Amino acid sequence: MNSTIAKQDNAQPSTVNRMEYRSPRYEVHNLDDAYRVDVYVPGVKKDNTRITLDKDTLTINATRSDQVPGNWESIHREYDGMDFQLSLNLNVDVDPDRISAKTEDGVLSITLPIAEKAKPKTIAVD
Amino acid sequence: MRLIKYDNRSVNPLAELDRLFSEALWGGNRFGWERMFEPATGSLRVNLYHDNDALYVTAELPGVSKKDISIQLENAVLTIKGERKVKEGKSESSVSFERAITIGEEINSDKIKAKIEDGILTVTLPKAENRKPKAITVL
Repeated sequence: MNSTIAKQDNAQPSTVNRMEYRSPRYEVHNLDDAYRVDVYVPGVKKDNTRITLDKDTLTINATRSDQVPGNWESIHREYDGMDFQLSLNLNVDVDPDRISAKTEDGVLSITLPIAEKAKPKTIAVD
Repeated sequence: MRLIKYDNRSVNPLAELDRLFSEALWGGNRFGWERMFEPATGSLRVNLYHDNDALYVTAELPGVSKKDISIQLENAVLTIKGERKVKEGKSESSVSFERAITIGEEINSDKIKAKIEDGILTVTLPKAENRKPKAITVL
């Protein structure tokens, strides 16, 4: 019988792999029957964004690909190169099937159509 | 007594003032509350790098298309100017920004290049030939 005993790493306690993110700037625009969220994520290519909707929380993860070549020496830095993460709580029902997103010039635009049942209804009086 | 040389490597002459304002207003946590465009001097954040061949200036300009950016070099001062337009339904608003950086090296001004990709502007300023590091052989 093959029995393998997992090796215990006694050298050091496992360290938590902490990821640091920066919260990107964003703007919300009110369209007629949808909301558009513009998230400013410079240095992020289209394939490096992940948008997830979990109940009423919209989470955007984006990783940057604007690292400078290794032989460049830094003289002065005013902004860092941290990846982005943004979590937004939606207080309006959106239609998850019709959510669309596009990236242009480092801006991620997400269009969230308001769900049918949340749209204002006029009620006729008999 | 050890003397510590004050090494002001900033090319922005008002960087120290910016830093004091930043700390006073945002409580020292520069990257928590920071807004990309600060209303005071230096309204655009830039990073400066160099290697043997050139000086590089990078800036975060998401949402700015290349036709809205103008870059000029005059008397060793590099000025980056532009505006970001935001569409909201039928109306359009715009935010303008400007940044002037003193370049302390001799630059081959004919060969300056700039490109913007995914909202990151990179300006390459090749160093003039006589300023590149040279190896001198001892005979």
